Amino acid sequence: MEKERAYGTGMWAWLLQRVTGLLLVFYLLLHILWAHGIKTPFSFMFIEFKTAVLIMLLLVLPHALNGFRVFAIDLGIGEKTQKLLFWALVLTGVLVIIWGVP
Amino acid sequence: MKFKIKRFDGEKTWFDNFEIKHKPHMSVLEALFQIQDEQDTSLAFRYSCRGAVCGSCAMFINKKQRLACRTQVSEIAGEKVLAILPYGPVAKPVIKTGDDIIVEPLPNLPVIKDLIVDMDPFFRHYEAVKPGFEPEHQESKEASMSQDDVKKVDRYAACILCALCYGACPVSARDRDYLGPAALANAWRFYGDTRYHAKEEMLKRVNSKTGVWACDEVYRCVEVCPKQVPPTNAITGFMRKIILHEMKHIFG
Repeated sequence: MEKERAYGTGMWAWLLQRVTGLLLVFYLLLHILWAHGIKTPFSFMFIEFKTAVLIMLLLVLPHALNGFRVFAIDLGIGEKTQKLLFWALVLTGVLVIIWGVP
Repeated sequence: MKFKIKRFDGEKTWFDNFEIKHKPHMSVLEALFQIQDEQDTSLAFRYSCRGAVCGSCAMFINKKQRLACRTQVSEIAGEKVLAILPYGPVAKPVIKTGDDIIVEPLPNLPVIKDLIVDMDPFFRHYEAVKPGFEPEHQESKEASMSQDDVKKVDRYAACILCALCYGACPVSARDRDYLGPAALANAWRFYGDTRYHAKEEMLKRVNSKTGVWACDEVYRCVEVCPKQVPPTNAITGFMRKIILHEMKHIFG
């Protein structure tokens, strides 16, 4: 039986890139407001520092790592290598998260 | 085995349910024949070769773009699909569960009747890139190619113009002026050919915001292609050639 050929890694990577991008813009706005001493209901004060770091890693890592993948695609790595790279970067991301959150 | 088929009569759209008698090694196209023969003669669909060569029976089967003749009923019965809806500007995940096989017309092209879509927009884009040898550059004597040169364009020459890639492309879904994966892959097939000389003109034709620069690079076209043509590689290849060409222009 032919396994899952359609709708693989590319489209999900694209969607994740957009979602994390939007959330990071939102975070940046909160951060600037916080730096100016303006309090918002989303202030990170009520969550633990460790949780905040985890959320940051979960947003930044997929966005940054997929950015590298997109560079590589534009440089012509081809359709098979990009898929392999996707999973290699997922693994990298997971390892960094494990390492980053003690 | 249950089939749920999307119908269109020029005015309204609805779904019809059919129960088919499943035979071993039955393709979705054969199931459609059975429905047309025994249950509803008004069911309209396009086909020709029945062997994945002509590309006429491109459809949206179980929320995936596939050739009806090449898709085995037994393989996709009860299939669970988690996909991203190809319609409109917003990417929306869609989940398909259940035993029935859903057959819909190919997305991104206007529907004429039931499963038949109007291929005109697709072929307009294809013709716009002029994928053929220019008559003024036609060589008078035999033009030979080395095996290595053939290899560079061979994968793209395999395109059967079935439009599955066009129906799967999220850019084609939101921008009907986008040239689309098939047209660009065919443009690359000629651009990379050693016998093709109008290379600069070809770069001009694809160098636009409805050309290669519109691509999202999500590889959906590559994933659905029944002939393993990689249009995304052609598109990123064009991008690099255009940039190099512009650089040469600027720096002499």
